[in-house]
Order: sequence, then structure tokens, then C-alpha cells
Amino acid sequence: MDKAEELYERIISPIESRMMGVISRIVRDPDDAADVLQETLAVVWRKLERLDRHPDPQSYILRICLSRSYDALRKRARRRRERPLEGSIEAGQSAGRGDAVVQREALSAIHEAIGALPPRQGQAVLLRAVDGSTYSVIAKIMGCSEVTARSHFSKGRARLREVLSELGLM
Amino acid sequence: MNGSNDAVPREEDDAIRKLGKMLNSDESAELEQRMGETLREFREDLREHPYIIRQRRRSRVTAWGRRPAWRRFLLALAAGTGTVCVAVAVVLTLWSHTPTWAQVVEQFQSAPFCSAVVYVKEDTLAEPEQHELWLGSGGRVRIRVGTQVVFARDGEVPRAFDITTRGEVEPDYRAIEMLEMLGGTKSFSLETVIAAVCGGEAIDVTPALNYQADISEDLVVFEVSSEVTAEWIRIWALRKSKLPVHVRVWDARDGESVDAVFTYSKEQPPEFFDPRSFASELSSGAAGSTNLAYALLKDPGGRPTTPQDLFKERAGYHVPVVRDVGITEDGAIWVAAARSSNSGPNGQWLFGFQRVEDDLGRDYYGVYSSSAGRGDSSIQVFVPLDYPFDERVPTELMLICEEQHVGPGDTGEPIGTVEVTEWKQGEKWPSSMVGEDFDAYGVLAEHLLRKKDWGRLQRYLDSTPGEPEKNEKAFRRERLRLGMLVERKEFDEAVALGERLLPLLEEEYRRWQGNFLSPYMFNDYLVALAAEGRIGDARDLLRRVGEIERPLPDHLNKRAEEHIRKSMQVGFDANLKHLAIDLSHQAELSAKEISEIVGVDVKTDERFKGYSGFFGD
Repeated sequence: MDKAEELYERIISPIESRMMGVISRIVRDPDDAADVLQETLAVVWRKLERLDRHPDPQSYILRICLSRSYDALRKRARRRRERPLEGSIEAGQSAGRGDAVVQREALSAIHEAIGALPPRQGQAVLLRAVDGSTYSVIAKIMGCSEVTARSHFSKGRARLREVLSELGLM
Repeated sequence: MNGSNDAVPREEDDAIRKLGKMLNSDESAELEQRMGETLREFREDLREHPYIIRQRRRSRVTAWGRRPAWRRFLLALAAGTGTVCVAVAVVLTLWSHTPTWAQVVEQFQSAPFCSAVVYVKEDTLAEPEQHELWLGSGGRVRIRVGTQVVFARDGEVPRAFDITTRGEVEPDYRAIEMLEMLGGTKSFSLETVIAAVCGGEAIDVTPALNYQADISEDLVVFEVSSEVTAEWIRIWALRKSKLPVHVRVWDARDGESVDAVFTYSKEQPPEFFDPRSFASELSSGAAGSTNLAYALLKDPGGRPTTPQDLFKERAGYHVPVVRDVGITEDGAIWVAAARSSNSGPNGQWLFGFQRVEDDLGRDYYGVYSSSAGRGDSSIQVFVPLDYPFDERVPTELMLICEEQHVGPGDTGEPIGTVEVTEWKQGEKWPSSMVGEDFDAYGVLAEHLLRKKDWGRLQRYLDSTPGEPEKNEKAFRRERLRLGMLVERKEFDEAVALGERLLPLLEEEYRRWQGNFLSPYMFNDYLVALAAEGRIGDARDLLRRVGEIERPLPDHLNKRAEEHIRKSMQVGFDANLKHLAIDLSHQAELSAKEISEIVGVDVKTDERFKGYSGFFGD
């Protein structure tokens, strides 16, 4: 097997679907998601030699995916604040509108809420929600200790609960 | 990667479950297709990656990698492709005494010993890693990466040691990466050292002076940068000595950075670079990670770098200066000292005096010791083991400062002694240093109970006056008596005493004293009841204790209240384990009987996990 193939099979292939999952579920917008994946792969390209020697290259790549996706989410949430969607989500008042629209708006509102969290809290919450990660995996991907990961997660979750509650989704 | 026991309990987490459900819904086919294409393209592009091409040429995979960003960038510099250019250096005037890059390189090479502290940050938010690098003459290298200390010389196979396990290990990949870049030469060039600490290859283009970054007449700043990659290296050198003192690599795209701080001095002793000497230090030298990480390192300025050095610098231990000594009316000796702290070679601390002897041949037990950083003062209180003692007053005291060992059978190693013939007879200790109501003999009695020294304990009990209902010391005395009765399996007497003390115990348990006391205080009585066959009474008492209302003071905020309530519950559950073990060992109850008292099956309940072996069937 060629070195390039060997590297791809060993490092990228096992996490392809997770990379795509993390990016697409956080970013949602096809253009933004494709950009994030491009940026991530550009970093992988630049750091390929080091990744080849890295003790845990996959966590490192997922960390890049996560932080770039989160940045995109925050940018998008900012754009949304500057140019709000028509109407606003009000729980229990969705009559007359299609469920898909309500779902999309709720999602946008949640994205905005997550984007407003301190980045590390938002990332920890997203990893759990999107990827179902355990604390040890969250810690690995975020490049911090498990205790710190727990702290980020619980603070972010508490804030998220408030937001969901305000939106009438809890 | 999932499934470990640290999993977030998903079913208990509505917010996260709902979020996950929303985010994981309706993924667009278009999105999936576009991402799939991007990945496939990347896979193709990989074949043209310079690293892959070089690997192909080498026909085998090299063991050690390099930092690709820098390698790519510097390769481009070397190739002179035109895509990379030397930074725009605003050269207004070339001062005559401004060193050239060649002079800096030459001066670096002539330094007999160089050390570098390297901080690496993978991106803006990543925690920095710190490594240390020491370079000696003749191509000798020592590196500290994480818990490893790695030695190499002149192309020899590197040897690595872990200072936590004190054993030889495989070298960390980061150390290997540095060593490969340094190469097997007899002397180190500045370019290779920069490449090693910064993770790139040799600088083939002469760095240019950047006067804009130069803010001091003492320093000169060189730079290499790229117009297209946004990465740059900056080197600060001393103008007069021409030695580089700081190198920074910066990637403006993601904040990846490397900072290396260089210092120079005369040569270290040969053993500093000798792995065998280091191994010997690991097996027989002083303990502590600081002692081991910097073993054999001599600070050029003569400053201590390890606890061991500190110990030597202070010429070993010293005897504290006695400031004041007194003997209370009931025979307790107190000693106040200055210059009280001693630091041992392994980093342990000693304060004041550890033992007292008198010319009457009495044995004393230390019941109190405290130290204050301010003025390096300390106070210790000692009481005679035989209490009460006769009316004789010693004419001489011997205060002993000694290194204390913790192993079984270890004896203290004397540091020094002070003979005292004058003291404040009949005076209490200074209230500013020890609380006036400090019960020195109560502490002694607890020690005697732990040691099961019934003779001495009984003398204490017999000679401490007062009614427990009216006197705090007498209440403590009776609790100690209860403990002794249970230890001696005199359960009928223990039950009678427990009944008398119960209202006092409950009051004490209920009372806020800056904290709440543990329910452990009821265990002796509970054990006595159970041992007397009154299982139901023990069960009811334990439940009642669990239901005792414990009012918190008004001044606490909500968070503190929550924390204390939680701690109380944790404390209560933790005590159940102690109680269950006492019920098994002292009252000799079966697991079934113990379970009845504590209200859960001690063989299966999660709270007793790991303890079930203590209980019989």
C-alpha cells in the first residue's frame, strides 16, 4: 500500500463519518459545512507529517473539526442576529406554520444560544449532543483534562437548559 | 471510544437529548455528497504531498516526523520558488555595531553550554506544552519532555528515563523529533537548534533584520517570513554579545506557536549529560520530581534549583531558635520558636521541635504543633504520657529537633537539641498562638484510646473532673470512656453510658460549629446497643439520627447551603460504612443483622461496594 493510502486508511478513514457528522450537524448549511471541511483538511495537509507521529491524531483532527465548526456556528448565529428570520419561535404557537419551519427556527434559535456560550462550553455540549461522547472523549478532543471537560459541559448544559426552557422546548 | 464508565447519563439529561435529537435530524443529501467529494479529493491530493513524496523516495517510513507547516515553508524558502520571500525589513540605517546573522550563528556555536525552555502551543486555545533542552559541547544533549528525561550524544541511540516510575523507557516521540533534527554532529548550529525546538528544518535563507520589531538598543531582531503562508520566525539576539536569546515561530492562521528562550553559561559537569549517572541518581538519589528532573544540574549563578540544592545551600538542617518556654499548672510544656522551619533534601518540611525530654525521665507526647509563615515562628505543646504525674517539677528540659521518618520502626534522626533551665512555670501558652480552651489532655486521651493504653487512659478518666452535662471537657471524657468500654467489649456499661450521653450527643450533632460534626459520634453507642442484642433499638436510633434537623446559620448564601447539605449527606453515607464494619468486628453481627440496622443490604448495595468482604454471611 502506498504511504498516502496507508496514512489515509490509518488516520482519516476511521473518522471520516465522525468528521462529516460533527461538521454537518453543527454547521448545517451545506456551503458553510463544505468550507469547514476544506479548512480542516487544509490544516491536516499542513500538519500531515506531525499527525503521522502524533499519539492521537484522530482526536486532534476532530478537535480541529469541532473548533472550526463552532466558529462557523457562531458566525452564522451572529449573522442571524443582525438579520433575524421572519417571525420568532414561540412554543405552542406554531399553528399555521409547517412543522419543518418551526423546527428550523427552533434550531436556529438553539444555534444562536450555543454560539453565545463561551466556546469551550459550547464545544463540550455539542460533542455530547452530536457525537454522544463520554467525558474522556470530550477531554481528548478538546485537549484538556476530564475534570475541565466536565466543568465546561455542565456549565454549558445549565445555560442551554435555561435557553430551551425560555423557548418552551423543555 | 465510547462506553466507558464516565459516560454522561443520557437518560437523565433532557436538554442534551433534545439538542442531540434536533441536531441529528434531517441531514441533507446534498451536504453529504459535497463532503464526500471533498474527502475524496483530499485523498487524491495526499499523493502529491511533499512528505509522501519524500517517504516514497526513502522507501521506508522514517521513525521520526517533523512539523509539516514549517518543513513546507522552509523547503519553499530553500527552493527559492518565489512564492516565499524574506520579510520586508525596514532597514533605515545599518548601525555599525549591529551584528549580522552570520555573526549570531558563529557566536552561538562558540557558547560552551546552552539551555532552552520551549513552549509549544498547537492552536490558540490549546494549553501550551513545555520542554527543556540542554546542549553541551561534543554534541551532548539532554531533554526533558513531560515526565521523561532523554539523553543523546553524537548519533548514539538515545536513552530515556521516566522520573515518576524511576525506570528506563522508550523515548517520547517529541524528544526523538528534536534529536533527529539536531542530528549527530559534534557541535550544534543555530539553524538546526532552531529547527529542533521549532519543529522545522534548517533555515537556508538568511534571516533579515527587522527594525520595526526592535524596541531596544540592546536587542537586534531577525526575521524569516512568508507572504503566502502567514508563518514567520523571529529571532531576538543580544546586540553586544551577538547571542540569540529568544526564538518565536508563529502561525497566523490558527495561533500555533513555539517560543524558545535561550540561556548560556559555562559548561555543566560531564555527569549532567551522562545517562548512567542519571540512572544512578534515579535509583539512589533524593526523591521528588524536581530533584530528579534537574538531577546533576548546576546553576551557573550558584542558585539552588532543587530541594536538594536548597538543603545544601542552607548547610543542612538548623536548630530553631527558642523564643519562649512554659509549663502549665497541669504539666503541659509549650515551646515557641523562631526560625522554626527546616526543609529536607526531599522537599519535606519540619517545624520547631519534635520531642521533649526532662531530667525526671518522663515521656512526653506532642499534642499540638502550628507554624506561621510570618516570622517563621512555631509553637508546640507536649504533655506527659503519665497523667496526672507527681508534684515534682523538672529542673531541666531538653528540646529535640529531629528529622522524622514515616516508615514502621523508623526512629527520628536528631538534628540538634536545646537545653532549657528557665521557663514560665505555671503559665498557659500564648493565646495568640494556641486557643485558650485547647484541651491538651483530651488529645492525649484520644491517643491513648487509639493505642488501647487502658491503664493511662483510666488515670485520665479518673482524674478529669466535672459532669458531662455541664462541662465540655467532662463530656469529652465520657465519650472517650464510651469508646473504651466498647473497645473492651463491656457493652452493658457502654449502653448505660450511651443512654445518658445521647441527649448531649444529639445536641452536639445538631449544633453548627463552623461545620457540622460527623454522625460517627453515635457509632460507639449504636455498636453497644447492637452487641447487647438490641438490633431494633440500634436501627431506630440510626434512623432518628438521619432525621435530625440541623439548622444552618442565616449568613450562608444559597450555594454554600447546597454544598453543606450535600456534604452532610455524603458524610452520613460514608459513616454507614464505618458503622457497618464496627458492627461486624466489635459487635460481631451478621451481614443480615447489619443490613437491618443500616437499612440496606450491605452485601449488594452500591454504597458498600468493595466493603462486602468485611461482613460475614
